[in-house]
Amino acid sequence: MKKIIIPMLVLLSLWHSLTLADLTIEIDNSGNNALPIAIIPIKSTQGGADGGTENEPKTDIMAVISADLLRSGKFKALSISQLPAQPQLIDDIDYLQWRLLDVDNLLMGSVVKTAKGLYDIELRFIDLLRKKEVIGKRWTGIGEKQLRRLAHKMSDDIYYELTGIQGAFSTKMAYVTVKKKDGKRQYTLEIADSDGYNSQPILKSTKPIMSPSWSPDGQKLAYVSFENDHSEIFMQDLSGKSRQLIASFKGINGSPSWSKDGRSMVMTLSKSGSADIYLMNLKTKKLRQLTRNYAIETEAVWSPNGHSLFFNSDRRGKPQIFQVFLDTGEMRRISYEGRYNANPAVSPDGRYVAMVHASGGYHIGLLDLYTKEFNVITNTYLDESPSFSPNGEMILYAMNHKGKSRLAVVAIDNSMTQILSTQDGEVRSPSWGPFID
Amino acid sequence: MTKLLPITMTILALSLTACGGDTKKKTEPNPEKIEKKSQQEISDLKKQAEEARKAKQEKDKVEIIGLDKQGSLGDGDSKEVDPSELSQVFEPIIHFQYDQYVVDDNGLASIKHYATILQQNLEETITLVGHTDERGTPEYNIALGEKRAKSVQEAFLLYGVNIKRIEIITLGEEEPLVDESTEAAWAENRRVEIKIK
Repeated sequence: MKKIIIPMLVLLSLWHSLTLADLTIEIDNSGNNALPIAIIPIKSTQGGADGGTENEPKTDIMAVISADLLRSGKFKALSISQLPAQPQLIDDIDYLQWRLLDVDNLLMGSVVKTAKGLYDIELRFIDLLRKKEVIGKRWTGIGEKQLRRLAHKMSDDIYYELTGIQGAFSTKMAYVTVKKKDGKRQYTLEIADSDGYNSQPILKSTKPIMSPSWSPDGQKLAYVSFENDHSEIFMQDLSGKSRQLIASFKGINGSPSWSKDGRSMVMTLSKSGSADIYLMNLKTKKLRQLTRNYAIETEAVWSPNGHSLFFNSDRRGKPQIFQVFLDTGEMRRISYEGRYNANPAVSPDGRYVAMVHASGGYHIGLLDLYTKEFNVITNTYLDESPSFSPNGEMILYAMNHKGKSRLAVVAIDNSMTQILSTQDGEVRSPSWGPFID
Repeated sequence: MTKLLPITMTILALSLTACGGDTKKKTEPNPEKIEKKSQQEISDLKKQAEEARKAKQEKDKVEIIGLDKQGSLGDGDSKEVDPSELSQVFEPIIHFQYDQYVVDDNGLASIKHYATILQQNLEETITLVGHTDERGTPEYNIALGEKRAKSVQEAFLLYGVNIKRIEIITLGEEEPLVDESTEAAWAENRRVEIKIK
């Protein structure tokens, strides 16, 4: 058996871990067909001494990875009581023992606290059928604050190993929280890890903030702010170094969506009388009006190839999803199921359009553009603002749970829904960020 | 949902009633008096949204407070008044049906009332703020809120108010009056607020 240990450079997190407003996870239902994985708890040690709890990092790396894999709907870690053994070394693995349990994969590792208070970490992912280590990684000199990032990286690798699809656990999300202080609302635009941890505010306001949209390189956000008492679109560097007002026309300035090449943005403006879709060249700020209708036309998003847009129009009386082709101007309606379909989101491969679908409640519907099949994939309350993970496997959305707006993640095959929540206040307008190299 | 009365509007209505014993004899109202009253109404309007909000919390009754301050009525004690006993009382909030932007007759009557006040106070301008309930998508609701505000604007134009005096803002579902997920809360939240700048 070959041991492959790949030394890895861990990038310093751009976002310092502020754990005050972290989201917590509640499991709403669990996948039936999820593949079981044995995840062995780490027993930490300190340079040869037999280590106590003071040597353990606060972050439970294995718990972070378990939660990531579970959220995908495809995998499920065995509970501690289900583990027949807790091997700490590859040589300790009794392969037959795991085969009898129908468990094909095992994750094990070690954490050693160094003299400087940092950690040396090894993680090994074992294919129990082939009796082979398929992922082996070692990180040295890691600080507490980077441990979640490291765990998400490992989740990404495991996900890729088992599915052939790039994992999206290391990505970020943006969302808006609303808290009430002395009867006044406080809005905060925040960035967090894809599991809701490590949240960091990037904008605070006493006026509404809406509709964050990521730049394709993941370095900027466009969003709507009412700080000047009406809607305006701003663009902000995540470092906080630059912020630019890009649309402040008479009427609505809303629903920004960055093009895949980063050079233009579609948005909703009502400067000509009613809400219509416009395309702005971000360099010249020149506008091109794409819809001209007295009806409401809004919530435009790009198809992955950049040739067309999907948007919401109530030109037929109720909101429905339409597609417009940028070269020909051809328009077609794409949603036919039900009386209310709004806020489209397109999967990264262009195959699916998620939308807010109302029929006896508001849920996330998923339209397969290839087969025309339409399925409602959520069963929570007042679901809205769907946003695909960059690998297209999951959808982040806002919903109402026990009278509060919160975020949830659903696997596109509806095998798993998890609710993310803040300690207090409401969470809205989620947007899943792109892959970052 | 019963329409509820904002406090100052109620007070004004009562004071109009109080001095209205001889109004039938008068062929013309005293312009000075009306001017004064409508000016007061204008200034009251500026506080209206906040007070309306308080009034909303009273489900079936409106508590009128601070009558002693007005000096014209009562002994300063709080009184509870059934809204149905009062007539000709308007609130600067126009309500709408779900996913609709058509102003109903009640709404039109309110708009006419405030249009008359505006025509007596030509220096004043107003802002119409459109709101929706929380259901449906936030950006669609922004657009719906604007449609509602525009419907109200059109009614103001119909009653002779110059378009230059009317500004339109939409807040969609972002600032509900009632932070609840009930039919009653949603009905309260689907509204256009008339605000004096």
